[in-house]
Amino acid sequence: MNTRHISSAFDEDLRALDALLEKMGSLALAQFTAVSDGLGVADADLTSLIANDKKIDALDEAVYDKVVEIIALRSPQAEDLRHIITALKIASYVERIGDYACNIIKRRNMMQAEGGDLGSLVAVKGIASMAGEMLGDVLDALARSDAEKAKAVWLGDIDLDVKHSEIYQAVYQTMVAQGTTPTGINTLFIAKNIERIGDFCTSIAEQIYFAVNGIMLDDQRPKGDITSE
Amino acid sequence: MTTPPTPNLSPTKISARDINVFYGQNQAITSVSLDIPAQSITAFIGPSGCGKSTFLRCFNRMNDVIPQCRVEGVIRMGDIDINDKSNDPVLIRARVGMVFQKPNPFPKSVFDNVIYGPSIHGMVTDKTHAAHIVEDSLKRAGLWNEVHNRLHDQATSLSGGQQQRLCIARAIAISPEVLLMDEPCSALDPIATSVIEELMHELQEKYTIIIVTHSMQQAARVSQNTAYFHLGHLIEFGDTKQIFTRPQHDQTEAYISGKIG
Repeated sequence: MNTRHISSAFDEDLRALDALLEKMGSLALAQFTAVSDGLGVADADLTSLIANDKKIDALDEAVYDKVVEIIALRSPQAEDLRHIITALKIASYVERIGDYACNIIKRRNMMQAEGGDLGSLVAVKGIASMAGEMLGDVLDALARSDAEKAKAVWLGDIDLDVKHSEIYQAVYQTMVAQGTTPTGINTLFIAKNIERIGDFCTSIAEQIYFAVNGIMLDDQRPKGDITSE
Repeated sequence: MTTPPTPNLSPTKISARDINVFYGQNQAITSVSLDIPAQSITAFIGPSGCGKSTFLRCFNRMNDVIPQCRVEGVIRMGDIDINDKSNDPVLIRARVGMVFQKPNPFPKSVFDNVIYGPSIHGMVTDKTHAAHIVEDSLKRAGLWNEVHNRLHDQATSLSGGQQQRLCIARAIAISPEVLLMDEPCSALDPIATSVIEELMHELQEKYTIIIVTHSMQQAARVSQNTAYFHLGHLIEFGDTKQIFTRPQHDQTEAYISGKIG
């Protein structure tokens, strides 16, 4: 519904909440894109990006405070209630994406410190690019309240899962064959972190779909992660 | 005949079919059909002038007392049609009690207020029985502990919240099957409102309650089913949880969210 509230202050509160989420999403996307671009680049300074995560955490807390305030003061109903509750969950997912981006940086730095071959990370650049695209698309769906675009992101996660499984198998075989265990472990962790970022994008997509339609996407999403099977 | 929406699987207490209400030439209610589930609370919500109070008054023929008001349709409760003019409205009101917006105790004692209804309906056998009815009604209305030693004080000396609970005690003293409540808390402070809402929660085990309220939060708090009216039409009727989380109609969504187009 493209209607406004009789209380303009309520509309201002919702716009303020959306602005916080948009800022969080922009920071997380910029952070992950920089991480993705610098993965295999030896002289890329990714460590400074870790400080950005504090900004994302602070915004997550600001979203929480704003949601509590709106519930207390505005008694939101129906679409407004879904908007606010899903904003709280989405903020939590974006915050976790920031954490995973930091984990990737730490793993990459560990590889570098141990004299590992950063070139091996070329293998995960493909899924990093896929996850970055999912994140960009789901944040765009959020900004536009576009449930269909959100659903497309949700359905697309299987491609990332399949690629992740392929990487897992390849790195595992290399570790067994060549004994490159430390580098292999770090590569697998980085790949898993990227795969989890894709999962959070699907979780955000589910919340967008629920906020718009009032029903959850069913749990029949095709999954392609077979690394534990 | 219009098929009414069915909000849940509870047995139906009152079944209204194709109700039209006119004030002279003006139509206040248009083709409303609705089943009120038994022993539950049904809330009527909607903007001022939407017809919710007019529709509520159809259930105990209170519209009869309004000149030029005409009610068409069938309102079935058990074996009678409430809207059949051959049925005595006094007997109908003994089965369908009513509590109004403003507490309206009679200018009599607390005791006399409660026993008035049972007396005129010939339900009182002797003084002991009368005392029993008064005590039982006041207890069920959650007022006994506050007034048991003030039974012969003027009812108007009670606080607003106590007066409203006295009116509820007066209504239930004649053991009605249905309680109509027309904005029963709009003249009360938040504490007295909470007490009345808790009382409604307890009373629904025995009575079918229909409440008209301007407070959507109150409708959400107390009712199991909610009907939304607009300009004399029933727009949506359903489970209260669904109405307040995922209404099916844009008009309902706009009203409960306080939105304008």
